[in-house]
Amino acid sequence: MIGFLVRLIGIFVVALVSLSAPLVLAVDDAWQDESTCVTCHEAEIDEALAISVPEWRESIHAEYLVSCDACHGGDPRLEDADESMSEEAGFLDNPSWTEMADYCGVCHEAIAESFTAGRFGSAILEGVRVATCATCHMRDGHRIVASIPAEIVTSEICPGCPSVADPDRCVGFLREVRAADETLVANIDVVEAKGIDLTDLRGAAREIHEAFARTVHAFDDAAIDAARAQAAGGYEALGDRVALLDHEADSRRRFGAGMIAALTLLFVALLATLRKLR
Amino acid sequence: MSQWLERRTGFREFLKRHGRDFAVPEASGAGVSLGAILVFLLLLQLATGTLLLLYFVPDPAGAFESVHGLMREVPYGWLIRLGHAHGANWMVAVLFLHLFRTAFQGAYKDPRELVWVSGCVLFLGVLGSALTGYILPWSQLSYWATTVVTASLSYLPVVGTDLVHWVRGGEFVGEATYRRALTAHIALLPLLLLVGVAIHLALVRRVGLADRVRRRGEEVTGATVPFYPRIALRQVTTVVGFMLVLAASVFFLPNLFFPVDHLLPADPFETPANAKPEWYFLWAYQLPRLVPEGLALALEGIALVALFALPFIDRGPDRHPLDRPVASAAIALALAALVTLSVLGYLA
Repeated sequence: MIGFLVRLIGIFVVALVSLSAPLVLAVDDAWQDESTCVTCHEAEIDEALAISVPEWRESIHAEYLVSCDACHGGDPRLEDADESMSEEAGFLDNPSWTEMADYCGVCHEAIAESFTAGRFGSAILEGVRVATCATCHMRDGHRIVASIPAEIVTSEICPGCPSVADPDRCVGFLREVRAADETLVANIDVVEAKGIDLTDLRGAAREIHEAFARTVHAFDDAAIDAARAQAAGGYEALGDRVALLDHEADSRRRFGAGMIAALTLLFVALLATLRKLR
Repeated sequence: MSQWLERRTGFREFLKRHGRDFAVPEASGAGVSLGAILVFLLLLQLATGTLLLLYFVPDPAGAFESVHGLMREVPYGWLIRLGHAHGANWMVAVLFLHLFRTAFQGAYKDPRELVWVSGCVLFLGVLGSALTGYILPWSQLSYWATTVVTASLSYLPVVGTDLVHWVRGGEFVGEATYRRALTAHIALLPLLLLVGVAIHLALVRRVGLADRVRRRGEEVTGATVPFYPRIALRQVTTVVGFMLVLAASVFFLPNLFFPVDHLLPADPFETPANAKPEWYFLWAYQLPRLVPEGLALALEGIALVALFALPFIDRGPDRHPLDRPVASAAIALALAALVTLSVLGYLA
């Protein structure tokens, strides 16, 4: 019997391996075709550009399939480098610091609007060099980071700003709100993994985060203080609801454990009865 | 009272005829009785499906919200819904195992050809039921998986485009598609499955359960035992053992069969990054991505015909896989292709 099973599994494994090899290769080829931007720049045309591809692969942009052309324009289907990065193909290159908000605002519309209408946007209109989207969010290249550490506030980046002497005043509260957001989202993940759908609470958390982010990007101190208080209150209320549902998820599991214990007893009793019948 | 009932219904006679008087080979059902598990799962689907209908709003406008309410507000609604959804997935999985085990053991051979054919009809009925049930919560997953699966019909030559239009009830997946899926899921397919199972079991009763697989020349003892009590109890034990697996998945791995898109309401204007059908259709999704569509369609057609025709192709007297190497290799190849394509489809 064991010999038979071994031979049967052997036939299956041989069939599986012989089928898998060509199919896996075919899938690998398909991955290479994804975008000529990626294939060329990954092939190290120059080091500075080549590094941007692996950075991008780790980014939230790659996660949401926002590829090079979404920001830089061009046609990623054309194989010729000059053609794919020509004016006719809609190539935009990198934006200047004055154009940055419009550039990122194609997708991040509300944030860009808030930024343009706010303190920094007004400064840009007056020709004053201030921090823009890339200053903070691309400080780690194309990985794109959301969190802003205090070290970023330097006199070089923010000349003339009083916060340079006390960077925590400028970015400390961001850390605090981000931590509240991350804790809530992590708790939501835990409860959802236990089988309770919290899409509505996740959406509510996102709304709090987006409202706060919009206010922050206007760089108005009074508005930021009000938004901080509102966000803190919002996260706390949502946190209480998540905790309640976590309790509910745990009671469901206890019910399940009880049912499994009862079924196990029944199973053992049936096996014992079967043994007697033999 | 029981005499009164017996005179009018003959239930005792019925139980005796199909229990103590039903002689089955001594070794039958020695392993896991997959057929018994499938009957249990069908009954579970009917029971939980009926209970779901008490609160579920079968309409694209209210379906998603009502499922959300069932999971959070209705007492034990989560258990009924998870039981139904997990039950459906396990039913397909156990059905695949049942089909391949029967094929490897040659249990479709004379005189069980029609048992096999009726089983194949049930197999398609269960897949259809799973597919149509999938659309009913009207989530992103429902909408886009249905779009992908129905679009695959367009590969059919000549009638393909018209067929997609007919199945969807329009150019795109929408309310008409929903009504079609609903009618099939709660009326047509349960009826087909119930009648199909009755015919399948009646045929099994007529030709008897298959004996264990023997090598060519090995002595056949012909020893039999009554179906009741030992074999029946063995099957009940198997079902209870399976209930443990089902309970473990429902209570401790509730998201096992749900990708993240099931938590979002259907949005025809926002295509998810990686729209895919359920795991049991991944092979069909992946095949046209690797070979030309026409060839993929031809291969699927050949596989379907071969599935139904298996007992009429492999007609020799031997049942042991090693005594019929060509048939065994073909079945192993089919299983390997199914697994490989599904894995590649999952990874794609």
